[in-house]
Amino acid sequence: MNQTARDVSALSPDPWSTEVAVLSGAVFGAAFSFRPTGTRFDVLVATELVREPGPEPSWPVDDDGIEQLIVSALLRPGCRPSPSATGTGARSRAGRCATDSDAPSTYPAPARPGQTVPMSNDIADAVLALPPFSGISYRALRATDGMPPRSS
Amino acid sequence: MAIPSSKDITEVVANDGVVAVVAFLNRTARDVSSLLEGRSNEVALLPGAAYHAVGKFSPIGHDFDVLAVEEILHEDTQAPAPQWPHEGAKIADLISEALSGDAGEPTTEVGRYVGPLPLTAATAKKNDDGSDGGPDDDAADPEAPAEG
Repeated sequence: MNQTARDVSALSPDPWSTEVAVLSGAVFGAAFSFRPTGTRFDVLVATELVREPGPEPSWPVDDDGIEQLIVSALLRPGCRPSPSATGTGARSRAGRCATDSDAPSTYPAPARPGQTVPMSNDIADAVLALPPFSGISYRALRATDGMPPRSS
Repeated sequence: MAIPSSKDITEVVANDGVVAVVAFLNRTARDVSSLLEGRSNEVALLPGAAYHAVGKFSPIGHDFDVLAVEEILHEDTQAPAPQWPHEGAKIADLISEALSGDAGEPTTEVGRYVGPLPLTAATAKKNDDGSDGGPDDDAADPEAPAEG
């Protein structure tokens, strides 16, 4: 349940991309889990913990509403794997589905309700998908930053 | 973790207490401005990227040094050709010119572009001719490679 993530699907060469980039440093707290009827997997609902007020959440306020939303997504007809799916499964805007078979293994193990989950620090696939930048960029150092000796 | 840097040096030196500016001559970094909200000049230095010092100069009218560091490509890494001059003096001119430009309104929180870099004591990779491949060998500071 994101509040600071970025929908990067429009940047993907894959027209069926459903990718959302969870930003480095974002922290999520496990809210609840449930097993959708007829499936062999659990769904863990994790809500982002924000340091500053973000946009209003676009999901139901109650757990039952969230569960219903997810079950409805699972039952959506016409799903097929996205050829380049690398994120967790989600509906595409075109009505097709991506799989979560390639979900990054670096993501932490599911947490119990009440635990906080530091997300992966791996750089987002969306960033890596950008072309290499071979120009000059800059970063400043202060005296306490282990700067090199000043030239004479 | 990726290290934020900026294409705009005036944004970087807008921070208080700056004593040095590192100019990254990138090969594999990513211009992530299109992924960020609002106007941005941010370039992400990828985790694992390694740079070695190739030159240093003190820009006239400023009380900080500029240290130029060039990215060392890992074997088999595909990268576009460098988009900067080969000669160190021309790089210095380019940076000095950028410093004298109109700073304008910072595009983002400039505090993202200041702070320590992970430094290692690695020795700069030498080319066959004995140089380190940088634009200004004489001013190189091989003891300050940075790893992104």
